[in-house]
Amino acid sequence: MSNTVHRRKWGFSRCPKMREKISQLIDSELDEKETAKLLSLLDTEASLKEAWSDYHLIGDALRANRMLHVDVRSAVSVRVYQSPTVVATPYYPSPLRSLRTWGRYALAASVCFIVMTQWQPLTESLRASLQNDQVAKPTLHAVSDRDNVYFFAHQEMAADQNLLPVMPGQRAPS
Amino acid sequence: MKKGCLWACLFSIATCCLAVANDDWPLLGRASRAGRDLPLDGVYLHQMNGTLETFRLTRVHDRDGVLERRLALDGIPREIIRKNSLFTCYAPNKKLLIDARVNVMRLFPALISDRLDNVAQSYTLSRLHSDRVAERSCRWLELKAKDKRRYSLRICVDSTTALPLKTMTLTPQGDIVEQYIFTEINLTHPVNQAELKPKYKFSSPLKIAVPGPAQNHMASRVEVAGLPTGFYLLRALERSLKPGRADGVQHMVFSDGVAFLSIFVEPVGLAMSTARVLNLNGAINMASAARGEQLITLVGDMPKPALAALVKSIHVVMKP
Repeated sequence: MSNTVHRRKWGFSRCPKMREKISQLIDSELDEKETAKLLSLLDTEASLKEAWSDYHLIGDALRANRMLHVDVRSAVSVRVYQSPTVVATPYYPSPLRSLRTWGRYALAASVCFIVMTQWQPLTESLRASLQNDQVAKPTLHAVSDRDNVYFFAHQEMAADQNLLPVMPGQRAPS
Repeated sequence: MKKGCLWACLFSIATCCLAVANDDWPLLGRASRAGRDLPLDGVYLHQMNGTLETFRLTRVHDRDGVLERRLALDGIPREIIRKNSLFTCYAPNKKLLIDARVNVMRLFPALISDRLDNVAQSYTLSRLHSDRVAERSCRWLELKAKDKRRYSLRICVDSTTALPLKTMTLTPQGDIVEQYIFTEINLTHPVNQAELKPKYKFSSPLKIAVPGPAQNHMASRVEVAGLPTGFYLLRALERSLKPGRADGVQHMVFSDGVAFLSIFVEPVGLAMSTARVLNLNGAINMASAARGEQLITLVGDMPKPALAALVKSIHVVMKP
């Protein structure tokens, strides 16, 4: 049966020649002219599109099967068999432990709350004290002028009795 | 026989103790003189009332006597120059001169009087452990007050020169009120006299009340009762506390050889008559109270509670 008869009866997809061409196109074995002609046919012929999809599906299946010759099942079974079995009692949290855990959470939350509520006033007071320190006039003698007169009068008379003149006739009692 | 040996041992131990104790007083006298006159170049710290300051002290002897410069290395710029018994304060401006004057109050290491003859009435002297200050070995001496009305003083005296290298003023409870300590000191190399020149422009000489006939008269007509034992009258004068005014305030200075106590007596109308007790500077406290028509004010290096009690119990009588 000629290609023309095939094409009329079964369409492009059943034509052996056309299927071979599609196969060659997928395998990149056609030249540019034939490739362009076949691609334009693929755009118009739905049966050819179906054949194109079938060939790709067959190709994917074949490529997938090629990887199946690596059989790792036996090796994995051996490793699983050889690996030690860990026997552990299941963990059931006791009510007391649970309470302790919740207690810790509560404590942490309380600390966070206190820090959050106290931090701002603390930083403000620290800032205020720092500002006060910066603006405070340096002084060695934080006493009012009224008391200063006594301080300096005392100093004039008693700064150092070894160095200042002593009143005549005044001696330490023996 | 055995009893005789025992008594001999006790006698020898007692003699040794007495000998050591007798050695301590001359050592304190040496410390007093060295603190006042020994040539040196050093840096010391002064700690009081939660503050710490650093000073450089340079002292030389020239043909005119003792020349000394005390320069504040931190804080408010100021310096004090001493020529024998004359003090001059220097500062970069006039306002800071008052801070320089404050530092003349206690002139480390000259904190101890060399008139030690009556100190023993009020203090016990004991020798404590050895120590090391500013890379020099020293020995602690303690002047412990016999009552709770005055401070005790601990002095670490240099093993070679007897210079006080560190002093601590302690309350009767044993708390440190004030302390001085040399951090570095040079006692051997000569100091260039150029280093003793003041670097600041403004100066103010420290006024010294020079004793005269008026003071003698004043001292003869004043009677003070109720003072702690050991205090004797050092100076007395009638003065004004404000420049340009003749207020007629009686000022008497007493000392027990270690502490100084000023007594001011003035009419109540001249000052506020509210009773007050306050700290003025380091170990220096003040207490005042009205007694009849007199306002009595006490200033001295004595504990605050002692001054507060004393101002209530003291009796000052001025004879006509």
